[in-house]
Amino acid sequence: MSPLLEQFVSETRDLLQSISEQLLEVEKAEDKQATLNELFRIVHTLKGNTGLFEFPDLTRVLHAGEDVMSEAREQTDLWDQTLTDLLFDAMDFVSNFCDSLEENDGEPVSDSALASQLEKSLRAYLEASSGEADADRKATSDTAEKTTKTTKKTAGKKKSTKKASGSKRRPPRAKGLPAENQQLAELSYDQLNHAWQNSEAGGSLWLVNYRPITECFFQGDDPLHSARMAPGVVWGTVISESRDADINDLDPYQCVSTFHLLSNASEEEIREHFRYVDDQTDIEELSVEQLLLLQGEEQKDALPEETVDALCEAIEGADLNAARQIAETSLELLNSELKAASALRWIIDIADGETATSTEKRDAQIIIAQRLRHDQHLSGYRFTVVENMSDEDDQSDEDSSDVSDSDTQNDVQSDDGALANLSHDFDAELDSLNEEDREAFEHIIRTQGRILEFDPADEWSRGRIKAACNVLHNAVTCLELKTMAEPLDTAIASATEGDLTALSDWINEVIPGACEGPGASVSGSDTSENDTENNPSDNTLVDNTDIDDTEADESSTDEQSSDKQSTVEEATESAGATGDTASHEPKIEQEPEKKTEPDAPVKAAAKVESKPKQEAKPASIKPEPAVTTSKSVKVDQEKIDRLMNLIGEMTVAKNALPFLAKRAEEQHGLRDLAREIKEQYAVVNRIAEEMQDSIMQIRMMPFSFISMRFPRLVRDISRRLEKDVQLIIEGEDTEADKNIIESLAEPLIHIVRNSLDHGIESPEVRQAQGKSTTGTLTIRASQEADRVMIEIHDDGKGINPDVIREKAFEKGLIDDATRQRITDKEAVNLVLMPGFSTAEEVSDLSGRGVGMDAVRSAVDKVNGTMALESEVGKGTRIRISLPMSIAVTRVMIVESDEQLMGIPMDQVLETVRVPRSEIHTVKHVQTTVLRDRIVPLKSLNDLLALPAEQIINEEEEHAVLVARVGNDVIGLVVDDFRGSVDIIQKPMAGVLSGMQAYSGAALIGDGSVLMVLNLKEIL
Amino acid sequence: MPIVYSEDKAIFESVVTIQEVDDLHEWLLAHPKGSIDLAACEHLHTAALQTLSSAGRTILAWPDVEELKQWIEPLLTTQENK
Amino acid sequence: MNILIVDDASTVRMYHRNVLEAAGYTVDEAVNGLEALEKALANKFDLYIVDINMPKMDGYEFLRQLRSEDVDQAPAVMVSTEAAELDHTKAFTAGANLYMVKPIKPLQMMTYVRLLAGEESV
Repeated sequence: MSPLLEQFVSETRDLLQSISEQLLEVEKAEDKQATLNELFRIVHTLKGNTGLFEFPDLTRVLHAGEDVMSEAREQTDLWDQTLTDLLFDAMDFVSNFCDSLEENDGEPVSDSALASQLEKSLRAYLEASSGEADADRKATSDTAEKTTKTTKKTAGKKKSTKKASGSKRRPPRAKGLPAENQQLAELSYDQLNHAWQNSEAGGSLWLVNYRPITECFFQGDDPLHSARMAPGVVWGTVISESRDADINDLDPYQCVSTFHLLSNASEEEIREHFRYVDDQTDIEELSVEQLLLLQGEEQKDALPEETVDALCEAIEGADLNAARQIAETSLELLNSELKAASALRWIIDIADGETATSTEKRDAQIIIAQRLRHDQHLSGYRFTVVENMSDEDDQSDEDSSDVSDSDTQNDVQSDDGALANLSHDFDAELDSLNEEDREAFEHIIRTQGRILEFDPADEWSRGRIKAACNVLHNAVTCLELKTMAEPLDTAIASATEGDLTALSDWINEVIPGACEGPGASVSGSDTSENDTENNPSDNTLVDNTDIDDTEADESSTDEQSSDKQSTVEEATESAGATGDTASHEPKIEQEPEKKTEPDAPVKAAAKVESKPKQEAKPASIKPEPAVTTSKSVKVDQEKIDRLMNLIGEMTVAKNALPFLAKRAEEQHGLRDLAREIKEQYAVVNRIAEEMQDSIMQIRMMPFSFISMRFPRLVRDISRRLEKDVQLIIEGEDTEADKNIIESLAEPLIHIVRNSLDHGIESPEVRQAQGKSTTGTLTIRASQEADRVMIEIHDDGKGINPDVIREKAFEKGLIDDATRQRITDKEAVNLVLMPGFSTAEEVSDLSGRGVGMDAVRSAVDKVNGTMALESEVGKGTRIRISLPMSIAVTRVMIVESDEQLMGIPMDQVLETVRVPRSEIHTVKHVQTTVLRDRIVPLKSLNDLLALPAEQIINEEEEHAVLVARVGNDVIGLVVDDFRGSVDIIQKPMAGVLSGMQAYSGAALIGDGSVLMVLNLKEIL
Repeated sequence: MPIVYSEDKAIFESVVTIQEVDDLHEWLLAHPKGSIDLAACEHLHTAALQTLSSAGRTILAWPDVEELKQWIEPLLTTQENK
Repeated sequence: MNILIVDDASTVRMYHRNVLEAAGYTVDEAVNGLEALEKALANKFDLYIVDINMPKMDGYEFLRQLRSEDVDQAPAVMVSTEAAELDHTKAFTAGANLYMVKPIKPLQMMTYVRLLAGEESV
């Protein structure tokens, strides 16, 4: 995965956690508004992130989620548990998606059907809610405020209805080339051309994505047939997961295909055709011109520049034949696989087209020519746009509208002859720019023109103008537009003095009509902020919002334009504005809360820029130093593991020093050197130990890492079981090693689930027994010395020890004598025995036992212990004790058949020398008596199938290591003991991982490998 | 019969419905080398198409109906190479 | 050339950083308006790329505060997923110099950044 994707996954996880917390918060919170605002913001951020990648399913779900959130924070009483459930489901989808991203290295497998389902449910909620809002409006339309609110709702509904049926409106087209559609880009040249020839230039095309539900065959559908029969199909294809499925596993009756087609029929016809599967169909509008794509391999200089220029000139002159001829001649010389070749084929095929008018053909060729120039890394060609060059009327040509626009603008400016002259020079300079730069430049200039129009009374307007001046200066300098630069500098100089006239004149010279004049927007068309409701974080402005304003905002567009002067309209339109609003009050002045306290930490930081202040600064901000930078760093787990391994290796390497000192002294007789080495060793040893400690600290994680999942878990389960449960979590900041904490997650979830499922009774039962109807589940983590204790306590019905006794006896886990002898407490703990829970219907046993031995073994794995206490009718308490860290293991080194092996120290009871005479054979088993106890002896060589006798020392004694394995004590006969050592045990990798006899291996001081025995397995 | 089976190939004819899918599936499993002739096929049910694409067999002949061929060719072609 | 990226989403920050650094700009980041303001007042930047929705202080407020200060006033691009026109007006009123809709294509971003920040030689 790319680092960006990793970042994405990591951030998404964090955001999901926050969302989850907020969702739980919303249910409890008295004042939902703040929480909902925060929720919206997080979901919004999440959705924004997904936009950086191509994850349509993810974006779909999150977009729906965002819309719902946006709606819900407008009307908090819409919030209910169903919606929380729905959002939880959506977040689970996102979470699974992230898992899949990681597992499949950035190529997620996503459940499109589920995504659609979630999106649908979310949007359905939206519609339902705006329906309520409509009703709401009818009831209370007399108050102005309500009207404001509900009008917005209606607008929201319109939007959502459209979205629910999955239609995307064509975005307003940027001038210049049509947008490149990703799906179209996958079509071959022939397919594109076929579609083009069968469509009307300037018209619309519909891209239909039909994703039938999996079970559709059972409803008698044949999606391929529906797709083929769709009206106006000019291209279509099937994508199917079956392609990657093994035929042996294939269920032929599950539909796993999606259908994509391009149609030139009308939207109504298409919708009519797919009306029964409306929810499974996405329809996207494209312009026919979007078909004009070049396909093939890119190759710079495939065509000589002169040829391309000649081609462009022929197109410019609308000489179809000349263009066609140039294309034909060049095509013969060109590798047909190249992009450039597809451009030439377009030119020819467009020229030969039967339906298009000559204007349409020329326009299409212009698009192709510009794309060709782009492909060939040539600057854009300035085609003049001719509105009507032949007999037909042409309304659909968007490029021509651009020019007609500037024609009118030219009229405006030609009032002033001198200006017209000047701007002609500017035009020449503009013409020298390539297409992209020119577009960007004009956009920037227009925008700055608009910025100058804003109210000069704003407190920050000086800074705003200064920034705009900088922008103009930078852009002009960057593009080396020398003719423009001089007048601009003069204009900026006077703007700095407070006179903006020269500057707005300059802008109008570059782009006629782009600036209506300083402050124009205040008196001319008030474009102040009436959108504040859309902005969650700007609550302060909501109160200031004029109600009339908002109404006007929603009112019809014809009304809006009628009361404005035409020039204003032009100005705003050319700046890309809609410019609708009515009231003329300079509301901008009612700016948000400005703290007038003069000093804040920011100011202190600002000292670096110690320029003379020209005017008193009204704005300042609250001191809030805590937010500046986060103290924690996020590090990939692998890096930490690597560091830990390195530290481990260093610990091992430093252990070589004592060996070295010994050699220096004994072999070379260098006592002084030996002493120095030992001293150095002491230093290195101390540092190594501290490093060891530090890395352990880094690996420490708080218990909250797993406990944070419980609120959601408990909520979900108790809701499903219709039980009333209060969850108390204590000691969330208790820390333990990451591995320990992680290994705890599953067992704890299991225990919690058990408690809710079988422990805590339903409210009715509880009431009947005189308990409070709400059950309590307490999870408490604490630290005791170097161990972490986790306690899970419920006040449910407890476990009946008699039932457990009987069951254990039936299963043959205990004999009759034991059954009679053991205490209730011991009996209850029998549920932890392996094999206990394999019984068919254990959940009858007052609820415990389901998989408790699995929990036990998970705890065992990290050297933990667990115990269970229960009292019938009162509840159950489970205690788990875990080491804080598992990284370092202390082992006893033994020798057998000239090999060294390690045995974990916590299994070693003692090491003894047993004289051969004291070893007896009882029933073919060798035993000896130690401290009045019979201990069976096993030879390690035998256990490991080493063909050697155990070595006996001069006193005829065997070395016996007494170990506890499970509940048994055995004596392991070895050749010799070698003392104990701290090691960092590494699991066996590769083929060795299958060797159960060893639990792992480690390096020891002299550099050799020590295998650590897994006594449980070899005995 | 919409599909005529032989030891080495299955010939699709006219319209192949979902009723043929079981037989097709079985035949494909039983004849791992069997190839497919679609020339006379006018339509095949999505389920049959999926089964074919999962099997990944050599297509001896594409449908004479050019439009059908365009729909299914990319899906069945990529498979052949696998 | 120094550019300050102001966005609460670390993924977006990384994306912008990758694009800008590849083009040879130096990049600093802020996670909300407040941090951005502190950085803007302590260092000299040639361009700000500002998200709207952020905790503590949003993009509008950041720009208003920045434009109220007596500093160099480098250009600012406001970046958001909202394409609604009303947001444009609000952004420009607050002191943005350009409005772009997320996600910004790298090429498009580079063209605008180059023009707005001006060339190194300036």
